[in-house]
Amino acid sequence: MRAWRKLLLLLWFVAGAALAEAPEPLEPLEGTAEERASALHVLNRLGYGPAPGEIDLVVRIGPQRWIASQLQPESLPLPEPLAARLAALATVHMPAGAVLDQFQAAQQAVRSGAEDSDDAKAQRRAVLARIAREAAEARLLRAVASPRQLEEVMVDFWFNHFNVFAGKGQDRALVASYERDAIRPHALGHFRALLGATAKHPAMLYYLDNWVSKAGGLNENYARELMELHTLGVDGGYTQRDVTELARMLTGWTYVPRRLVADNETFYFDSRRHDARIKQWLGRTVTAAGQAEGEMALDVLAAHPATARHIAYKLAQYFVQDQPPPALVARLAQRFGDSDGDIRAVLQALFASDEFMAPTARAAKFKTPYQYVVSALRATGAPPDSAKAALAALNRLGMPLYGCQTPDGYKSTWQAWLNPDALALRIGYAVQLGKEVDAAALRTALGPGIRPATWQTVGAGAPRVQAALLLGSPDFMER
Amino acid sequence: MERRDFLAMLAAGAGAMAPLGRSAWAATAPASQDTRRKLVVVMLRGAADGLNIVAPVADPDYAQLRPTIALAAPGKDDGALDLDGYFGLHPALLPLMPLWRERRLAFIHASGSPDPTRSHFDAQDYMESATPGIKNTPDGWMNRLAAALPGMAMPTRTLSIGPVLPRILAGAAPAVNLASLASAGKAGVLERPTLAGGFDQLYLGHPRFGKAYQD
Repeated sequence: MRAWRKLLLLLWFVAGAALAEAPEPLEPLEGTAEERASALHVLNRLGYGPAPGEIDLVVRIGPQRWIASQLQPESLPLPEPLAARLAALATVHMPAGAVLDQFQAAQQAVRSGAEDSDDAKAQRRAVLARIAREAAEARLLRAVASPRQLEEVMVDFWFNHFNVFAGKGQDRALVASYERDAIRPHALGHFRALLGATAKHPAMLYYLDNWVSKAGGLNENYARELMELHTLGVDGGYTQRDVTELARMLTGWTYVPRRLVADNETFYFDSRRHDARIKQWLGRTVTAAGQAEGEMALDVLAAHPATARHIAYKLAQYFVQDQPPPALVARLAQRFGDSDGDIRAVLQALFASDEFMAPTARAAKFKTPYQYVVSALRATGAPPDSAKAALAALNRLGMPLYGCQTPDGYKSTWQAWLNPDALALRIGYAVQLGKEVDAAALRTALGPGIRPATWQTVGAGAPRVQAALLLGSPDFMER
Repeated sequence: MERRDFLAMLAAGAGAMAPLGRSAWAATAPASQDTRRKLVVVMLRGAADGLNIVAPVADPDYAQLRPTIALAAPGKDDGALDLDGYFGLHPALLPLMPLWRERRLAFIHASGSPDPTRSHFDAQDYMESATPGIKNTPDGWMNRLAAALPGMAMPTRTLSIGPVLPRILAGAAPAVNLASLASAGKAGVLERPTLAGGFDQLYLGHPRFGKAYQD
């Protein structure tokens, strides 16, 4: 430790002795220590950590009943204030074509030069910024305030699994619809339906270039990621030839921006662009059948055992630990296959497993920047106007919302996110957010998420920095 | 920063490193050895058409196989810059020519991973782990290199610039990531005594976070 650090530490003790109020005695707690620990665990994994009072709530109804209600999100009404704030974000509720219309009109005004060019540019920036801000704010609002926490977690999980990048051209205008129309309705539904919805959404067709792929001008990008990332996994036992053949089967799967704007036609099979010759794919001969070739391919991929393993591994890694127990992955893959890819059934098996509920699984995951920021907002009751700072923090932390450029999405592991810079930036955000927050209330909200030794150290600090110390503590980095 | 601006800056012999959006990494030799040599690795994560950067302009097949995009021969309008009578450099890379003439620049052409994967992610991963075909290598080759260098292992011996510490620097040897040069110069909240003491107490010696915090 450098000398000035030692000096600071000394100052700390002196300041602490002079300024610290002794931690206030806490009110009697709901449940035993073990019950509170397992309540915190399910809140941390099925959701983005506890909001004030939620640990008590889960202890009262029991973690199993709480999990069951999370698996039926339609049984949990959205609170009126949240619904009202969401309703105010106009572009989020507009059809994809209408948003694209706004987007293109703004682009066009700049190109045509008809209006004063600087004005048009400022206008375009304002339109683009509004579209981006409203989509991100809606996501953040729901993640923080929705009682349907598992639904929000799965929307994020599947968006990330079927990632598209909002910074690529038209996708800026299409991500809100992509999340609302392709991801959210199927977040706890059937994998095949989810797969089909992403395959046919213009955001994906544009992002991975399938919309321009045609006989004689093949683009393999979507076909490759469809097998490598979305379904079979990179070790799923297919060859480069299978990628090319699948791309040929998917030629003609496109959309026409003009008709998307005019009629909100989000998908179009163009038989003139389709390669109608025979294909050899994954050991089968595929004869010409137009759009049905691609549908058949999605059927085969969704039902493939390699897909079951790939999805089971990713879910277990996200919900349990970075190196998920192989026996658990095998059981979840089995459940995926037996249930025809029923996501709810797989999650049910996961949450009921010994591996998930084991005490060793608690706090075993390092929060991603998104999980960190959302959990901090939840624990502090999300001060008003905190969205802008939260989105800026996500940019600084390397995890901009809708901003992952590559189709593999963001990782959920320690290895991917823990580094000195990241810790310093998280602490910076904790200090910023913690300014207005009452430390004692925050500590109560986090319950066993703050270890006694941590609270002791925090309690020795000046009262006005205690909330920052809690939010920036090692304990709060884990979930 | 645009790639070409960055390359131009390198060509100008600028000593400073520059933030370039995605990734740059540097390893420096230990100060005790009194050498100022540094290794700077820049990974351009999109793709580069090597045959359009260093083009075999004197090869008769070249123009024939690339009828619409081949570089013109040296001496013509917008022609390639002659390197050795056979290869020519793309004219936009003119600022690199002084380095070439001083014999301080080399190109390693048509080189790549022996692993035949068509996965873009795996291919990049192997470039960083330097173990083609082996996916579970835990560390990156620059981190292993840093560990093998003689002298004191200062935390700042290896630096990266980018949103997060990249795979190429992951591993046991200390390494520092700077999100951008702008943020590197700014005094962080940890410079404030009322906060630093508390966070030091919470983090120093912590089994999972102590090392990352101290670095």
